[in-house]
Amino acid sequence: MSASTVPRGAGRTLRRIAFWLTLIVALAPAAFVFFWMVTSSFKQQVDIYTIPPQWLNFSPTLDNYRSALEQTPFTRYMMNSLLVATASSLFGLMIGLPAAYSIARYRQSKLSLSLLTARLLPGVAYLVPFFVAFTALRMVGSYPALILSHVIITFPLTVFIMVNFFAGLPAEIYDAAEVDGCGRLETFWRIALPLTRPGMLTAGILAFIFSWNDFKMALILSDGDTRTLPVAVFNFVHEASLDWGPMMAYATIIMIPVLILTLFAQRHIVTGMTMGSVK
Amino acid sequence: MSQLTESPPAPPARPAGSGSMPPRRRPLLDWLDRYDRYILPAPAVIVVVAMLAFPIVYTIYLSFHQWSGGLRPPQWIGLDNFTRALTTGQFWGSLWRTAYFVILSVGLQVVIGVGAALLFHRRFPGRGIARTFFMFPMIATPAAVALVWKMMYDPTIGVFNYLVQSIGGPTLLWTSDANLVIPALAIVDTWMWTPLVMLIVLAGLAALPQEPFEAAKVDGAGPIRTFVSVTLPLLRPVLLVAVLFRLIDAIKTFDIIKVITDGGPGQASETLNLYAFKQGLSYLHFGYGSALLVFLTLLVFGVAIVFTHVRARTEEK
Amino acid sequence: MLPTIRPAVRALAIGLTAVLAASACGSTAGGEGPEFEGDTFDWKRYDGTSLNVYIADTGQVQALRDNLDEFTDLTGITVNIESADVTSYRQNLPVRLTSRASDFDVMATFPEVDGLQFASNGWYTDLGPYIDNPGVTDPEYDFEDFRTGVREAMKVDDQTITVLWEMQTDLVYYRKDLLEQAGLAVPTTFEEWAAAAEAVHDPDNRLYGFALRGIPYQTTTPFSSFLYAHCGQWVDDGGQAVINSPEAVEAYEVYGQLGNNYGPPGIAGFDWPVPSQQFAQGNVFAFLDVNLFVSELEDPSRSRVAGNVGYTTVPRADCDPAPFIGGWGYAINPFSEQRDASWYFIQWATSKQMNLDLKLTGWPSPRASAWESPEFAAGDPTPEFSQVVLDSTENARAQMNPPVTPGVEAREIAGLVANRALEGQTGDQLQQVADQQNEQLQGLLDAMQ
Repeated sequence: MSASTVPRGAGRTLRRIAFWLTLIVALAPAAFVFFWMVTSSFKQQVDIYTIPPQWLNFSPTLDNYRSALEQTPFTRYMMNSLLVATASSLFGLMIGLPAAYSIARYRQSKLSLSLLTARLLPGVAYLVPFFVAFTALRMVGSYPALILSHVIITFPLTVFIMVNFFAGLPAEIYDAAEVDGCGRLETFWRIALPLTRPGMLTAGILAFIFSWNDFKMALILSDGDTRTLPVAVFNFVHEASLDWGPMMAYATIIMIPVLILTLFAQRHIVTGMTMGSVK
Repeated sequence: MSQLTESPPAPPARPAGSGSMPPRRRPLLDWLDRYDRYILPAPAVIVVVAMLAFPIVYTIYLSFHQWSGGLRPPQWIGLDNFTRALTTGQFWGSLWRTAYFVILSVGLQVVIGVGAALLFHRRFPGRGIARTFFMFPMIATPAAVALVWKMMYDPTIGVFNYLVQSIGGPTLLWTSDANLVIPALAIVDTWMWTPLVMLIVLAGLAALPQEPFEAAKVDGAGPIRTFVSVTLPLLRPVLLVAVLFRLIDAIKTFDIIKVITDGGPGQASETLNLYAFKQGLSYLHFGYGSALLVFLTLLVFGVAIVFTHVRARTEEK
Repeated sequence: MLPTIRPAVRALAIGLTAVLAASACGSTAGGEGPEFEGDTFDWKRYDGTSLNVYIADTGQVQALRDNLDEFTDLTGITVNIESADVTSYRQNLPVRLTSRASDFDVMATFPEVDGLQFASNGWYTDLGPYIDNPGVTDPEYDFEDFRTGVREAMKVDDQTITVLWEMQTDLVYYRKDLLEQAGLAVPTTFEEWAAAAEAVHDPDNRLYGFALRGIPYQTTTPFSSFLYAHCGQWVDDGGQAVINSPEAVEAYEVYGQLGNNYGPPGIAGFDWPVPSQQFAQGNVFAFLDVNLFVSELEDPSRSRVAGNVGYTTVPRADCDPAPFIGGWGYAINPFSEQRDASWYFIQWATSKQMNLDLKLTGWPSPRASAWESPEFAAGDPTPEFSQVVLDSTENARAQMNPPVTPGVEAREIAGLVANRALEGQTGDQLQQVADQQNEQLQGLLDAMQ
């Protein structure tokens, strides 16, 4: 489109309109899917299946939320999800921070590569071995088993993000610390850690989200008492019916926490996601 | 998110025990200090070895055996599982479907992601909110999102088929059509992961030097020529990273395919990962399934290594 | 690399050896019969024990939970129920049994699918010695109340390994109003159904004549009724796979033509709930599937055709109609250390009273007494349907799946032919697919030897 044929002001208006239209097109897919999920969660089964679809002209019902919350021990699943995601991201930070610091400070690239191998293995490959191992340890269906298995998700993420943060610290601080008589572990504990607090928040939030979203590990390693939300959605796949309504209600509820987290911490998420891609 | 990466730039390493240590009466702490480069990563190493080594060793062990999980112990059968895979049409089919899915979805993500990044690179009111909203699909729970797509793709009552028909299009059966199922799944993957490519490219755009653009302006280059001859070449390293990140995860895509089609219709969307899962966990051919997982792992590692090399070469130029 | 690695590797090696040893030298399981030796039955014998029940949720779990107190009052046994949806249950149970988990005592199984594989892996407990033993079975239990066809469905290799809590069988659901408009009698043969479907079929108005499942492994359930009515078999008496015999290929052809000519678009990709959903929306005139959709179809908040649904037995062709009978049932985990107490739970959960209580909520009970009870008959909203199911328990002799291990894979192999037929393949083309799949099925059979 060349703007030279139209007078200048009109050209600018056209360009502006084109820009906003493009933006709407870019945001439409996300909007549509979430719109469909949320409206379906307020429809009766019979309306969900109507063609042509009832976009907004249906009589909304709260039945799906009622059955989602009443037919399953929902509060328990929610607490499980929270517990597992929180514990595994904290644990990931606990072991990931010192490792990331050491990698950044001593340029241990071999170590960094071997630790990040965890990221390359297909998740499916863990399932049977984990199950067998945790059974031998009598841990299947326990929180520790689930939390440990999620460390595979949270830990590489933490190391990866934190190495970049630690590497970004100016070298002078180490000298300054030494002059002040700090030992090396003290330097890590008292100086490097406080300086990289934003990084920890970034790593923690992302680890939490990815642990919260995991479905594979929980499918095999959780039991009735430790089941997490993503697995619980499938409670509504029955032998004789697919209860789309309650499933959509569940899906909506599961996503609310991560979406809220995104709204409040989008800057951190952007930082974490793009870490290391731009030098 | 975290992937292979070369070690980041770090301050030059300093020999252990250098510097002037003020005298202290804490021998244990001094000893710990001296070996901090081993002590600090130790917990991580222990956990990773414990969590990784067993699955790897066990999978390799099983891949040389035949076992259905029963009371009879696994039977050693040597390389049979591997030769069986290499001589089975289904294995090659699943490999081809994996390639098709990965190339299609990563290709779409890169093209749309770059476009979206250019869009969000501009300043406009409400940019932060729009960008956050654009990111939602990436952090939404995959298993739950997949259910929504499954419903929308439904052959008769699904909203997509209705939309296509209502604008005069043909009846498209999406996930029920063997020829359309992989593109349909690639659309879901693209919907989920384009934001990641967008964010990486956006960060790349923000870090670009200004001079080449000013030079292009002086030369009188239009926006398209500037993009092709200045922006893209400068973005190349960043794009490579984005592609590497996505390739590795796309090869391993599991949740959305499992939930939406479970490999169907027929075997039309049975990627290598699904094939391995089905053989191992549905048919209880633990040995054969493990052999397939070994192949899958080699594939991921191969792609990662090739790309890291390409990237290193790009950086040298 | 690091000094810390070596001990870790050693610990790992020890752990690995332990696990491998466990999978190689464990105790043999199952089939040993009750531990109790006596002949007087006492509900309170295991007072104070606690049981873990791990089952698939086919919709009955809530009722079971609601009634658990009754069981605890009766026996003094406390029960913890862990349930999972069918899909993840099927995924998880074999993994748990593989690792010999003994943290659950009662489990669920679907013998049609799991039977042969589980039996050859030693994952069942033979219930025969329990049922026949008056010392551990309540005199009121009345096992004969499960009709012959149902009792057969509880056996694998002539051993009773489960007691069903539901009874699935095939039937045809149709729209009474549309049949009346077309002026036809209720069809009884496949040919008549095709003619009726053609008469009603009106794709321009989104009304289709007949719906069926399309996803390969799931087609075997409705297809078994086609196969047996056309005198076909999965495997012949000599143990050879025969899904490429003229009879079987004709059955596949009929299945495919019915669905392809009169089915909704995309039928080859239909998951098991889709035919009933389409029917509930009023898009389909008739469909052949299992008997689990009644309450859904008669519920106005879920179905636009409530009140207009007709039910009839599966049709015949050259041979008599032969609906399968099968379903989910309770079984005892062979690795459990409380097998006797587990049997107490199963007895109670499959007792006459429990069956009747569930029946009154619309559940497809496997006990004849529940269907015939006056309480049920008085309030039965769909007597037609009840009759169809009762008839099925009398004349069922079919297996819905090839009797081959692994069951899931055998279903996948045999079902692919039906899937291709729905995509429109016929004649020689279809014969070719059947030949190829038959060879694969034979491969599995050979591997079983």
